[in-house]
Amino acid sequence: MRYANTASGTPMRIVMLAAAAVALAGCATTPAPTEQVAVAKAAVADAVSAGGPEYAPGVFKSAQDKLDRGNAAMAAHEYNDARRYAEEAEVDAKLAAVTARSTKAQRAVAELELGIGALKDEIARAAR
Amino acid sequence: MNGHRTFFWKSTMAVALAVAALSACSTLDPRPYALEDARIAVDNARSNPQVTAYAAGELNDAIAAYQRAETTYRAEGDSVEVRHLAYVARDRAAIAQEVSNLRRAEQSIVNATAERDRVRLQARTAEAENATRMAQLAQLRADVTRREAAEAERQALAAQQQARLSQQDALASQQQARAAEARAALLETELRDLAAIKTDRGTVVTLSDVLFDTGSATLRPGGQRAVARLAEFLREYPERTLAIEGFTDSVGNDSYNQILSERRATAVRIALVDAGIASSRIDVRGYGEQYPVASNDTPEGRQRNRRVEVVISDERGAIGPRIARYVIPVR
Repeated sequence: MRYANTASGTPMRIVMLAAAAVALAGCATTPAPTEQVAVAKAAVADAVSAGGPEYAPGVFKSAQDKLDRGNAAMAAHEYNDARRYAEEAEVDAKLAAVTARSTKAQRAVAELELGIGALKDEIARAAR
Repeated sequence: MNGHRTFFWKSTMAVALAVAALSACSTLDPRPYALEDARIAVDNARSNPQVTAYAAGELNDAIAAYQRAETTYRAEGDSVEVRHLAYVARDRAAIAQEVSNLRRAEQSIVNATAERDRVRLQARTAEAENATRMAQLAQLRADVTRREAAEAERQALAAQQQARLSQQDALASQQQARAAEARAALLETELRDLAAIKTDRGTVVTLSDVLFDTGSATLRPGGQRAVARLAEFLREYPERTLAIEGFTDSVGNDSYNQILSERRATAVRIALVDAGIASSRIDVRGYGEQYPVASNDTPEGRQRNRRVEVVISDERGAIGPRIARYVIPVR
């Protein structure tokens, strides 16, 4: 019975296998996101120098974790995961860096305004 | 029949396999929360005017990231990739917000720095002005002190001067008193020199007959000298006035004697006016042979009666009335 169907079944089997192969290839044959991982690494380094660990610890930790996971995924050749982790690590690191910079700038503004207020008080006192 | 069934089963298996393969990448679940979160975050950023003003580039990145997530979701339904793209979009929206905060703060720093420099300058100016004011105040105080010292010195000097002046005044009064005494003494002497006699009417100077030409009103040099002395005296004592009275002896007729006595008195007045004495100070009368001072019976007596009497007033200019002082002796 199986052999009887062999002549008519063989082309169908080939079609099925090809379809399955194409479907799998859509997910599996991703190039290694080396560049993206490098970008993420640089972004995390920038976040460190901007004071991210101090001023935006939650987001910075997320960036660091995702960079680590991205590296691990690279090692496991799970390139889609690696790319996603790297991309998320990059935006998290950028957010941590800009949050740190903005916090520091706002603090500087407050200090300047405090200083201006003190000077104005001094002037008012001197005028009296 | 059997072959046909087998083909149907095999076809079913193939479709199922393909669907399973595709489902590894996408499933048709309800719209995922992550995508909804991203949409809300991007919309918030987009509707924040500060984000559109300060972080337009970052906002565009967030919008683009969200569109990628949305497009992928529409093509594939929910998936790891859709959630990943939504996560990136939400982060980019947060980045846009934070960048706008940063740039706004940086702008504030620039403005506040300028403001601080301006205020600092103002403070220094105020400080300098204050110092100047203090210096001026100190200067003012020094000036006041100096002025007070000068004033005290001036008052001391004034007091000294006052004392000196009082002394001088005292000396001057003494001198004046002495001068008045001297003047009184001098007057005395001068009147004596004029052969003056003090009477009730005043001091009387008698110019005798020998000082005139006989029967004439012309003054002889001796008479002129006497008049000059009299003028000098009047200049010295301007408050005094004169009554000049002419007299004759009883020889000759009355009208002649009257006229002669007036003319002689007038001659004396003219001489005095010529010497610079105001005529208003001099009163002239002729009495003829009235008021003899001696007997007309003897030549000596007649000569004494021929005379001009000059009555000098007191210092108020007053002259008393004429009364006969000589009573003709009755023989």
